[in-house]
Amino acid sequence: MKNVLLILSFIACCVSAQEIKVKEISKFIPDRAGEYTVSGISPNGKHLLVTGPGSKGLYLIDIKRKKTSTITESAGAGYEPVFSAEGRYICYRSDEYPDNKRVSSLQKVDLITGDTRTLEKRVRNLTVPAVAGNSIVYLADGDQRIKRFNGMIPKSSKEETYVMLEDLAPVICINGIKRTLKPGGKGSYIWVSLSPDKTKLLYCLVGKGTFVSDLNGNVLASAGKLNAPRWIDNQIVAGMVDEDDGMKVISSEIVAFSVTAKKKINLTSTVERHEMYPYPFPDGKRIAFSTSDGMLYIMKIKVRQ
Amino acid sequence: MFRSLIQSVTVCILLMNGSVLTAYSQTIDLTGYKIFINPGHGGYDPNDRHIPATGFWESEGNLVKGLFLRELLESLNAMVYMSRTANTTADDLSLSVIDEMANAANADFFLSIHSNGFDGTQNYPLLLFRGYDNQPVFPEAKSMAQIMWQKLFEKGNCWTSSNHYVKGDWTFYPEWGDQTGLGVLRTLTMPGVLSEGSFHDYIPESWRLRNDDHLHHESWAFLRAFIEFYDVMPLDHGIVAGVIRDTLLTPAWYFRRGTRDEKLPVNGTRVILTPGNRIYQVDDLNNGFFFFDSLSPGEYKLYFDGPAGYTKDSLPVSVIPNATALADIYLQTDTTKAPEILGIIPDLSDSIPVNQEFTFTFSMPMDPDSVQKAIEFNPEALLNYQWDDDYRTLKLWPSAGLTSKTAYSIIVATAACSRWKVNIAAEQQYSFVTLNRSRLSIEKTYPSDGQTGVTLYPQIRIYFDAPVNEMSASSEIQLVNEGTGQPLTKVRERFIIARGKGAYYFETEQQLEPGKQYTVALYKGLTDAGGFSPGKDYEFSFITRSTIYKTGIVIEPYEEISKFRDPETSGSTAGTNNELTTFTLSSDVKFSGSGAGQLDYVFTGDAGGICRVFDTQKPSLGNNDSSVFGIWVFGDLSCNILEYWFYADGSVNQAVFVDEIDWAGWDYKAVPLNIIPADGEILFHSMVIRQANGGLTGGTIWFDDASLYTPPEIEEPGIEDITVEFRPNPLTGTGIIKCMLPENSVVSVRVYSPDGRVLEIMDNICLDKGVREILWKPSPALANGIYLIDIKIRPFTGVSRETITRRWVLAR
Repeated sequence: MKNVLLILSFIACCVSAQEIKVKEISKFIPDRAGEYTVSGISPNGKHLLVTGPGSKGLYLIDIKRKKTSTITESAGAGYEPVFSAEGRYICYRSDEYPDNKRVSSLQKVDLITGDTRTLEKRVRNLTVPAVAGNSIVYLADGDQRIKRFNGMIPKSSKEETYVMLEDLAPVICINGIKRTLKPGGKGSYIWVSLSPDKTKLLYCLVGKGTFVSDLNGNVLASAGKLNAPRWIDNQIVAGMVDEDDGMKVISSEIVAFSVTAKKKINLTSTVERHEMYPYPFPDGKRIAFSTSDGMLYIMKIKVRQ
Repeated sequence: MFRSLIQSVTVCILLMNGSVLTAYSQTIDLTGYKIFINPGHGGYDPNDRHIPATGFWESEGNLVKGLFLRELLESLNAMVYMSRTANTTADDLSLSVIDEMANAANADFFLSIHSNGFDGTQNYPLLLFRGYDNQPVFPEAKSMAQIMWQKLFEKGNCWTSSNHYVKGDWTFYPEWGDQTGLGVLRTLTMPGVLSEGSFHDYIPESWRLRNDDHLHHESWAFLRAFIEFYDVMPLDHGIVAGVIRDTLLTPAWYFRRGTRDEKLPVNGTRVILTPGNRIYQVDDLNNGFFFFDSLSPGEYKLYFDGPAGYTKDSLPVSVIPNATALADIYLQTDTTKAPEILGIIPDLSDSIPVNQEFTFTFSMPMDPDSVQKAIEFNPEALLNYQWDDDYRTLKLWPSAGLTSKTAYSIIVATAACSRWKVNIAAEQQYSFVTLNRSRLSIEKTYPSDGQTGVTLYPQIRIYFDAPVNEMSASSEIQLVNEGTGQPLTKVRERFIIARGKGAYYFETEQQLEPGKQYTVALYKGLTDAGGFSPGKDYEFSFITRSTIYKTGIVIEPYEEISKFRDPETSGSTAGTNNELTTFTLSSDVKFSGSGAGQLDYVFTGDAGGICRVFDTQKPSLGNNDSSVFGIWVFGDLSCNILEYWFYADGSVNQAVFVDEIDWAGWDYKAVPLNIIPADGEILFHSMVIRQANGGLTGGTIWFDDASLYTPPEIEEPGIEDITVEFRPNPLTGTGIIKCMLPENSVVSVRVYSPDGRVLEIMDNICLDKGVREILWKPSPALANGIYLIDIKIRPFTGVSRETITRRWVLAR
């Protein structure tokens, strides 16, 4: 009963938004109970990639059948895993702690055959992979490495544009040329990503807020406080406005930000639940998110063109 | 100060004959490790923790520890990231941002540095990791938490508990929701711990936390933990630290009995460490703390040169590597000095009341007998005496009052001597004149004149400026029912004499009628011990509560006192005189049956005391949202706070504010079960008196017939009830108190802090009947937390009064 009310209150409070409209929010209960956070969505939008507490484990959930498959139970696997463009492969970093010392490995899973291939093994300092066309790029103990998902050649040079974080600074690579881009100047940058059309950079500058810039570092829009932001489409991002008392999260709502209108819109507004870590679907019509108690939800949205 | 660290390398262990036993995996330093430090809170914002009594801010303490730890870790070649290096509002980052910084930095370990706060009576390290106690999300985090707890515990000796407080946050905070836990550990992809190094609301520790070197000492403990956790070569140098205290004096602030904090720290001592002649100047922040780091192992000697009045002293100390040698010392007072009278209160230049209490303060502990014999009043007066624990402060007051409008002198003869039998240097004489007193005055009554909503079983109390003549009080004071004009029969009359003043208490043989006006009449035949009367008749009136009590089924009759634990063994009790604080069976004062539970309590300090009585039977209350749980409580007018404690959903403790004890006599004090957040069964387990600021430091309170009332589904058709809602809850901005008033009413709202302080008063708001809203905009100075909102609603036309109390969570 409580869940139904929650959904109704969502819809009622968001219908007046101009840029984006919430059509429905429904709790998503997979066949395997657990405390989950959304880690990714397959390119065709048919599967959720979720992880457990501490980003431990990686699970693929068929949205329609609500069936859960275990990709791995490894520690750290749920932090920024990536899909290949056609959705056949998943690449993730996993961690081990022999003698308390962290070492990481990079794994590639073929979702068709089920085969897992270790791309890097027990590296002391391994970054999470960034997707560049048909390849992944990462740093292993400071050395940049590029590995293809499969044997295909990238379609175009534009697909080689990607961004990754190095020592809390965004590093953009365009046509093979890397440069550090700090549109907001000095500081720590987190939650960086490129828009789907790879023309804009979304980033959070710690202590300053979340911003969108072009790839030359010109700031296009300031979203203010908007944590864990991700692109819904080329003009709208979704994030969370979470509040805490220094010890625990006391509220959190999913909020959309229009880069063109420079305006934020609440997509949720609930006191009882803390909605966190939104993950838009590739088609821009749905957003998956989790709550602070590890429940999963899927929100259907309509973006006005 | 911290010196550069020089490490030597040992890569193998050699047997005595020189052959190699095994390769040694220990590393020389922390090269290649990325440590993320999060100094908790920040920016002096509402979610910061401030201790006004000492001036401590948690955001400052955490930052000083964090910055120094970075220095230490970097000296061992670790790469260190920090969530903040300053203390502004912009540095007070969201917990999710802090975690993502650590994740994006690909840190090996995450340390969140905090200090703790609870009820001001405890001090120990608490280390939290993500997960359940025995099911950590990262086993390495639990392992580190255990190491870190040990290192923190070892560097101090002022703990109130030696329990190994290493807990999983899901276990430690079950009330936050299953697997919710600390926000700052929530999304980490690496092992992390949150350290609550000590308790900043325990005032002796709070003073220590004002000392940067004490904070740095905690950073050293963290470093030792990292060294052990990562199997790095131990430091080849050590630390000497300690606290200098007075041998005799006790602090004016709360301290835990039986700990070193019983003695007052000495400010301003110069400490010299030899060899090396390093000097440490102790600060004036009431901590007495001194500290020397980076010392080569060996034998040292500390020399203490305290402020005037103390003898010099010294102490040998052995320094061992990678550890702290604790070297506390108690400085001796120079006992050969003549004691002095530092002051007398009140100011005797003004005329003073005949019942005045006088306070003498001496420069050192005194011999009480010699002082009492040396003090003489002229004209003569019979005196009562009370000394503080140190025999430095003497309070005295006349037993039966002084003569009015009379010139007096007080002589303190040279026979008054210190504990070491050194007499005061010269006789001291003080003069004053008493105020004119020509009649017996009434200082306070319960109920007060015009009070409404009074219990049907009050204990009438009248406080006078002098002890009353008992026979005259019995005959000249009556309680009259205004409806019938008839006086009521008085029972259990009591005559109180304290500090030269008097009070008269009585109860009535029969229950008072609801919604009626009663008058207490004092006739002019009433006299005090000196024969003074009030001069004229005096009366005051009150109105009883409008409705009868709904008490339901008795679940605890308080007939068998062995079911209950004494406060001392009930847990959570703190700041009480254990000998004088007892829970016993009363056969004299009882509401029904053959007995009631009688709680006598005495708090040792002015604030922070908790007195809990645990019911080992833990009667079940079920979990019906419409049920109400209550106990007949005989109040003592102490203005302390009454709480009931419950277990919800297993063993989750829920402390529920019931009322300020501002009544005398029996009253049924009830709380609705729906204010207890629980999905499952609720068990009642404790009655608790929480000492309030301004509350009495002792009293006696009785409990009888705890009961559970569940109203029928259809109750009193046609009568509209008052309803009150608080929105939103938790409150982030301005809150709305929404009332449904069946009649035009006067509404008063009071906001209390959890310790019972009144923070805000909105009195006598006149509202028309219907749905009405009152706005509460919390002051920006209020910290996030749980506040108690007390609403009193009195209809214009009626005499009934509804009091509704709710918790409101402020979470900005």
